[in-house]
Amino acid sequence: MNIVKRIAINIAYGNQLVAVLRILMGALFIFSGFFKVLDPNSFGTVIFRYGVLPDMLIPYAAIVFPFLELTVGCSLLCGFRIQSNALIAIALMLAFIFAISVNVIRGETFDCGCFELNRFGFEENISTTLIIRDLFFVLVLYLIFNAKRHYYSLDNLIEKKQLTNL
Amino acid sequence: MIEMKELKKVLRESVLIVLITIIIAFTVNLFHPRGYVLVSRDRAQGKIVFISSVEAKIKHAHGSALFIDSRDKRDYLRKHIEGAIHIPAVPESLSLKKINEHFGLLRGLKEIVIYCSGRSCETDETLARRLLDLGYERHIFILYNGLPEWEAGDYPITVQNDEKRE
Repeated sequence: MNIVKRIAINIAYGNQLVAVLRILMGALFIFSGFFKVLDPNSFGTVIFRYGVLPDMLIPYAAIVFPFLELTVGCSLLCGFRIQSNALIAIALMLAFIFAISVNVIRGETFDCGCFELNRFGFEENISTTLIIRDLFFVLVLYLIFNAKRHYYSLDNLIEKKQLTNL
Repeated sequence: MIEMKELKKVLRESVLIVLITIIIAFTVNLFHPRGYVLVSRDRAQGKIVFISSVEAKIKHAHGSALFIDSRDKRDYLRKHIEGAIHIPAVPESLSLKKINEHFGLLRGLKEIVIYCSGRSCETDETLARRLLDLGYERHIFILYNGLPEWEAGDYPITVQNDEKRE
């Protein structure tokens, strides 16, 4: 029991596992944002299918969302301004979860166009499984947001430099 | 747990990151070859012409137009304008493949009329823009109110059951 508690405390404080999760989440966001940035028009059509945004806002969302994913992804991967970027990532994920939930209630089953994981053969159709997966991602992002120590990160490196200069 | 003062700093930083990302996103979109067209350049050039179902019906009756359904395959199979071929606007790879398949028809003498599921579905315009990008030089007609207006006019459609009977 003690070991479990110690592991939980380590994760909450920020250990190598949190760092690996941060890097993986970063890579996932970069991958997702990259393909959307290449073709914002198609992404606009995907947003339209969700039917949660007014038509006039869709082009703006189609332009901004992929770049937000890219920015958040790069920052999490490099470990730069981790807390702020993890917070943006959580906000993005909550927005996605809201849009998916509305469509699950409506009984829709189209391809969600979330992380472009269908390129690897993973199905990403609108479903409750997808909501659970995204909630898991939110939990991981919260761990990253809440962690005090970040291994393999620029933030850590900068902090070390500042301390040695004192 | 994160302190209030620290949280405020993180929030400020997040807002700043989002603002910088928005500026970058819109700047890149301006020069993006497939950027989201906020003010339709095609419409300004007059290459894309929006027509009513009555005008489309005249072209249909004369057999002078090639009707293209730009919705996804499931919708097309369920119901489409009689004689229409299927070229989805998304995903782009499939769209290009279908354009390639129907290259002969598209290069033929018939005018092109594209439609989707309504006034704001946008896949019709996405496909029209793609055809123009690929070098199609004549006018492309879009059924402004899509399939619902065509159906309301009681014009010929093919539904899945009919296909099965055939």
